[in-house]
Amino acid sequence: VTTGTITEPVSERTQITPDVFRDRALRIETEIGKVIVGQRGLIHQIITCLLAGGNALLEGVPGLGKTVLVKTLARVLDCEFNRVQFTPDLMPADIVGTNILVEDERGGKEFRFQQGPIFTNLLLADEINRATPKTQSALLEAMQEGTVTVARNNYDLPKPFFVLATQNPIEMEGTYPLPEAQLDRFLMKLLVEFPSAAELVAISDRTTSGYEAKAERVVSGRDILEMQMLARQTPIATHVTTYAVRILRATHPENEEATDSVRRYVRYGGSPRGLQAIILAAKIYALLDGRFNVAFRDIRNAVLPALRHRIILNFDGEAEGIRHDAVLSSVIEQVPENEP
Amino acid sequence: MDETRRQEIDALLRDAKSSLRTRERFKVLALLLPLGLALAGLLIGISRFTLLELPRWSPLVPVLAMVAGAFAWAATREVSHSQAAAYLDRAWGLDERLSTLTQLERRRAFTVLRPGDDLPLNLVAEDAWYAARKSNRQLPWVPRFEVSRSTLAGIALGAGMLLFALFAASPADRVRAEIASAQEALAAQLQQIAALRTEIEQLGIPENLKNSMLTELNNLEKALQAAGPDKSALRAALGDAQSKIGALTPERVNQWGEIIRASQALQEMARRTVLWQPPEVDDLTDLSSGALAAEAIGTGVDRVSVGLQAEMAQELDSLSRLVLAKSRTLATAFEEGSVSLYGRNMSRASQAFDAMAEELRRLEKRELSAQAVEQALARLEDGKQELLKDHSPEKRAQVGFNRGDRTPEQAGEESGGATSQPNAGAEGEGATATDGATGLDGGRSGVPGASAGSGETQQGSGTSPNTTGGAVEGDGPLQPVGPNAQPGGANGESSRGEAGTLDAPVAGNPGTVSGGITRVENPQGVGTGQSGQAGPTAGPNDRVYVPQAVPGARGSSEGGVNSGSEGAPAPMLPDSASTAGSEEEGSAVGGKLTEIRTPYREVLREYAERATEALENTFVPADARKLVRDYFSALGQ
Repeated sequence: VTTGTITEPVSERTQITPDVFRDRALRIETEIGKVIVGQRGLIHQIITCLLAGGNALLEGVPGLGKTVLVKTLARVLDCEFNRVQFTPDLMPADIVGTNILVEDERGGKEFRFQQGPIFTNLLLADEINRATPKTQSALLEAMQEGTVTVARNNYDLPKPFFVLATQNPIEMEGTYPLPEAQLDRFLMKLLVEFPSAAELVAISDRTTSGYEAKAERVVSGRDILEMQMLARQTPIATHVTTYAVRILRATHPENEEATDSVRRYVRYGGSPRGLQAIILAAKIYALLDGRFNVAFRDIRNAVLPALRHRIILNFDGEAEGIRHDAVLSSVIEQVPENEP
Repeated sequence: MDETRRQEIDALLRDAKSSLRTRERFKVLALLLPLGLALAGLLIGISRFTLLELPRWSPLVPVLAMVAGAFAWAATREVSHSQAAAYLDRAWGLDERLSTLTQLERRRAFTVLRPGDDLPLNLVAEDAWYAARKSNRQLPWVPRFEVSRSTLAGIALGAGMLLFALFAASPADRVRAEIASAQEALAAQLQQIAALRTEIEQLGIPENLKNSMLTELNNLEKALQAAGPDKSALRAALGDAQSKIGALTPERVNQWGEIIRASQALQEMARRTVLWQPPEVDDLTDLSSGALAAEAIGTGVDRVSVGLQAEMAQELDSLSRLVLAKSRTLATAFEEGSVSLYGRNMSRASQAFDAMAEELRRLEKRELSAQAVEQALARLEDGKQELLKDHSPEKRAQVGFNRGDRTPEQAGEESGGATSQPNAGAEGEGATATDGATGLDGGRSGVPGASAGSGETQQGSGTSPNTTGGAVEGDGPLQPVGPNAQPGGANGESSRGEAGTLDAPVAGNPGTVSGGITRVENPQGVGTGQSGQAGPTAGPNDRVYVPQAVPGARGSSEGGVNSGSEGAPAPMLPDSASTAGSEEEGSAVGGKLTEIRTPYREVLREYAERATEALENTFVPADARKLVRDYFSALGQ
């Protein structure tokens, strides 16, 4: 469907139109694409997560360009960027910051809060599963609340605030897998696929020939905030929302709408936060598609990244190596669209 | 959004509503169809597997009712804007634009995350209109809808019930065929009654008897109509009518033999004495001719020679004794005439002959009445026999008798799996096992040698009338001779036993018949003859009562050998001339000589009565009945 041109602002609170939204998003994607070879889907999902105001967990083996991707994104957005390499000896204060004793000009001494690397617009938490749960918890709490509490003082994190955490799926020794409750705080869990042969050739050419691709700044942090606001105002019909609800309920094995694979392999299904993630992501998808309403297919597209880290497999599922995506795909397949 | 675009969207939604209503009709119809099919199958099953008569259109009622119900339900069902919009979204791939728009218009469906925000209605409306205009195409007449497996199973079940009801073999079909057969027979009976009524009305019988018979026939008609297609009730009604009509007059045709013989003797006497010739009128009865002869003698008796008068007197005396048991008036007149002639009182003799003529005319009316009653009884009996027939082809094939009005080929075809041969009847081989007691004969179709070719072997003694008037003496086992005579190849045990038992009253008495009936010494009534080769009517199920052909008729038989070598048709009725000289001894029963001598007149009545009784109480084919009746009637003459 070719959409018309939507030029009017959505409301007084947002000064951008859906077309502007789409244009900005496309520009972001284009600029990132200048640096990152391939990974279009991943870039799309990361932008979706960013515009939805959420945080993303990237899972992939080292060397796939995760750090480069986040750096490029920060450059395109003209936002401050920090990277924290998580290690077992990393302490919470190393992330959120700490009070240090300083001497003022008159010789007096006082505690002054020294911001940690979390005080940034874009934070890359590399190999988050290598830090201790205590450190992980500090980061995830800050992600959820948008504030940092140190010595009874609350410190707001800058806006926009976007965390991209990565974890290596194959090196499990000496890691601390994120608990389910912590995983739930990520809007999306994105899988970084291994590049194709053509993409590998392109990567080789770009990185070994002295050619240095540069991404331009196309949007600001304020622009991102406007886009986030517009995304939340995107209308969604009741029966579409109900469709998302039914999908979510179908991931619960005890629910009567659960599919056979869910009943067999799932111990616990998606949380209400997962529903929020689906709806928000679907709205972004709709806007990126040039629509100002959510369609069923937007919901379907959002299910995998929004729920794959929110369902917990049971012993059978784990033992048989069932992938979360396979279970969710069966749910999408078997839950019919709602009639109004 | 301007008004024009708004109206365009509304028009699209109206079209979508119309399509959705059609879809609802078919969805409901799909749900109701199994029920309709099952009900239709049930109705067809009721009409096919029971005798309940339902209108032929009745199975259509539930189906049409379901269709009407589906349409009525769909007509009353309200299709909302949201449903229509969602349908258009899906049909045209509008990605829920229209449904979102309709919900936004109703201020319901805005995202729950920001319920207080202004509705971006205009944005959505413009986008929806644009997308709808781009995708606008003809909606299908019946939108696609999913039919659940249970619904499909229901439809299959209903269709299965319908097909089963339509094509499964039903035992009621046979019953229905029998009812139709009975109704057909009833119609035939009613037609025959009407014909009989017409015949009776034209008969010259007393009015009171005529009226009584007509009344009984009317009652019978009502009884038959009331009986309906129940064959047993029809037979009962016919039997009841038979008994009532038979009670109208105690006289029977076979009781007039002496009177008729006396009448014939008078005619012969008139021809000899006054050279009287009977008028060439077909409808004159023997008694009427006798009356005319008596009048002629009375008129010219005085011109008869003395010698002839003496002969006449002697003959009249003999006739007086002959008819004494039947008509005392006639016997008196005969005696008066005899006495007058002996006394040469011509005037008195003339009066006596006039009295004879008057009495004969009176008796003629009684005979006509008896004939009418006999005819009616015979017709009713025919009707009863007709009702006993099974018109189904299988049953016909089992009927093991050769109807006289059929060709041997036809009989062979009807005998189905019987061991018939196409020309078996033509060869004159016994259609049914023939034994000495029953005298069964399948060669009644008149094919030369039919009787002699039956391979009949009789034990016992008997005298048979033949065409030459001489008696045929059987002595010892009879052997078939002649070109057409074939020894029986089949064992006659089975049919012999049944038939012998059946006819025991007639044939089971130790040789008491002579001259007209084969005398058989067989107290049990069990025949001992061999059957002919299995003929076209070898079916085992129906007991057939067919008069035995007179052995040796038109042929010569010597030493107990029944010769049919001339191939002449075996006469079923004794020649009248043969009765005069037929009283000779039969001599051999299995080589044993008997000394029994009995004039056949002494036993004829008893035999005739027993035959009549057997005819009335036993299943005997109608044509065979007539044959038996005619046989004894002829003997009586």
